[in-house]
Amino acid sequence: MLKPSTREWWTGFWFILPATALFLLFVYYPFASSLYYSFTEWDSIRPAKFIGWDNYAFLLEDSKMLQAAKNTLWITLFGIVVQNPLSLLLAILLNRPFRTKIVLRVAFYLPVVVSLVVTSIVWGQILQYDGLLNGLLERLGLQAWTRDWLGDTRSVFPTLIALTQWQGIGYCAVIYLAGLQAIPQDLYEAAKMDGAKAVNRFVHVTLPMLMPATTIVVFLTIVGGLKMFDMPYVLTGGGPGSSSYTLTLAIYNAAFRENTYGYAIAGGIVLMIFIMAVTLLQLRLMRRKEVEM
Amino acid sequence: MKRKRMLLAATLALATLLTACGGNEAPSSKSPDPAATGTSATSSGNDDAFTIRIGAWFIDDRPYMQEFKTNVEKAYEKKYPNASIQWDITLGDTYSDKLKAELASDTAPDVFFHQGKTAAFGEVGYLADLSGESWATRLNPGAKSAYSYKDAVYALPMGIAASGIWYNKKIFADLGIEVPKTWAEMEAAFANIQSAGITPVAAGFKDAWTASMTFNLWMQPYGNESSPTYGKDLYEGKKKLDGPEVQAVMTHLQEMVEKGYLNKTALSIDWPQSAELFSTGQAAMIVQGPWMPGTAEENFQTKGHTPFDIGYFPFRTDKGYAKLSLGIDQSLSVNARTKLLQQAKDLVDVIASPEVYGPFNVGSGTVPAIQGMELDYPNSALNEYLKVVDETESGIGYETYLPASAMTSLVETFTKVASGLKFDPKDLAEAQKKLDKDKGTVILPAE
Repeated sequence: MLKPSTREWWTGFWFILPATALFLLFVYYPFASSLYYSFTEWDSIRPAKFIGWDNYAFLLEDSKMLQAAKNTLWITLFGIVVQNPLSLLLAILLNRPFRTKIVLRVAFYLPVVVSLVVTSIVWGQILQYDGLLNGLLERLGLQAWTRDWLGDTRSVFPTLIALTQWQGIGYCAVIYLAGLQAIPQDLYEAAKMDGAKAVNRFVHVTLPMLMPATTIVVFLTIVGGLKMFDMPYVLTGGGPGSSSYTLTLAIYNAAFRENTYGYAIAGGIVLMIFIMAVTLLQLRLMRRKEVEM
Repeated sequence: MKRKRMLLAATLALATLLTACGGNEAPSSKSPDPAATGTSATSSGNDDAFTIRIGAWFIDDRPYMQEFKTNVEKAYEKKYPNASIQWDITLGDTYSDKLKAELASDTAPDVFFHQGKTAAFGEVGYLADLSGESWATRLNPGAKSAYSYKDAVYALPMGIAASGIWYNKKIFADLGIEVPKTWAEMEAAFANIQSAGITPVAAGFKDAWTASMTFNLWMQPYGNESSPTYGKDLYEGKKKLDGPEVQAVMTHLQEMVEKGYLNKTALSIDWPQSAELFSTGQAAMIVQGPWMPGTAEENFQTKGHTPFDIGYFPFRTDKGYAKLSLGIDQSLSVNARTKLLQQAKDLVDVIASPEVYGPFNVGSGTVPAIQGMELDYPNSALNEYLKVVDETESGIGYETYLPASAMTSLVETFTKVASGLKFDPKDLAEAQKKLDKDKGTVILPAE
């Protein structure tokens, strides 16, 4: 007869077994394999050849990876510094009572749910040299501004950043909107009674109460920026040259276009460590500022 | 503490069990068909019902592709009346990644097409030995690297293609332009065409393969003029990717872009859109494979564009040297682990038969890799193209000696210059670095 504590132990074990098995099979085992392959030269067909730290060392010499890292950092910084405040402003505006607010909320959120294929085809047509955007610019007398927006190394990445903002602002605004609506109105009334102006109410009531939402939005912006892949993959493939590469796209191409899977995995592991470090730091800093009722 | 240790031990035991069950050992490099030496020509029909899978990436809506499918099914039905063919088609580049995953997990089709992977797949034992088949002894030796590994035949090459520059004969005739025989004559032709308000060359570099193809076709004569074994010299370090040969091509491209000889949408339109520019007469030339006349013909018929005669000429160096790069776009192999080995070999034999193989080559504008097959190409552009191909020196592409990473780097520099950026020779040093780093991944082509 088993002791109650032993029985309990076995009961616990059987309960966690399915999830543990799945996790081991689909997460830890592939991860452990990846770690091994990152130290090899491997084309995914022939056996891997152990080459030590060579893949990791080459990451620092590869100008394409460095360009991709630079682009990725720009997109992340832009997300934090520009997209974040714009989403908050949009959320504040959409939180006001006016007649068409529901229609506008849907309109701003729509880019998030539109399929990537549709987005890329439509924007591809608009941004082509003989597309809608250049046509509009010509009609406005701004011929000097016309260019192949996605085919010019100077304009391709800013254009991609603008497209990600078009998609990202609505998404972040919805999260801020939920946060704004959770702030008790009596706090604002109390502040008004104390003579606080709109700016003061925003700084001393709205912002602190919005910190949990802000933490989430900043976290999603950072992770989303560092992981940016789909837009450049579909619209430009990283080109012209490597001017619109992001880190995940560079890693993808290293694997699937260049058949250097070991090198790609090494890049993926370095990116993973970087994302972990940045997001841990961000969460630690911002969680301290959250206000709980 | 004791409980924790027991739980940890149990978890580790489970992990060990799962890893032992996982993984896929590479199949034996020997063909699992020890006794087969007979040919399918003498095989009799079989009434068993079965489904045989065939994988491909290129069988789309084009009429000759649909005709190919129908011809295969009809011919196979004669041999196996109750069999059915399951076409596992994944259009585009993702097919290659899917095929690799399927081969590694032993779920690949019984028969599959691939591109340039005979040696790589042959080395790890993914392919069945087809040396005993009747067509295997009649293959063009020039295509050996596409079908042979260690002197055994592992693939049926579907046709030999030479790509190059297709031109609108009407535009050339109206402007009094002769087919250029040197780079200087090409430039003069570009200038003449541009002054008539027509785009000299249509490019669709949004599809990376068109940029890669254009660059390689252009490099082939420049590289081989400098050394007849240019590709091998690059691999062995006797020539460099940042050398004068590559610099010459990049500089010429820069000149073309500066003078506006390429369509302004070169980097934002894809291959079908560039074909449209050519078929509508808005551009006088296009760099494409032998499928171009067929595509133009289809555009004329389905979109109502005014038809025109199409001609072909190869890239030439400053001194007028031309060398074509012969390529095998599709190779067909049998999965070494298929449970329907004889049926799979018979399917390949059916595809190699003149009734199926011939029309496929006519439709794609390729030359049969099986010798002794006389084909009638109804399209006059293709007949002219084949005459030029016959008269021009040709050989294996120099790029078969380069790792994919170096090739990607070169093409990225090419597209950067095509976008209007000034060519910087330092960009080529990056490609050389990649060549030095990833040389080990190259399987040298069979000679």
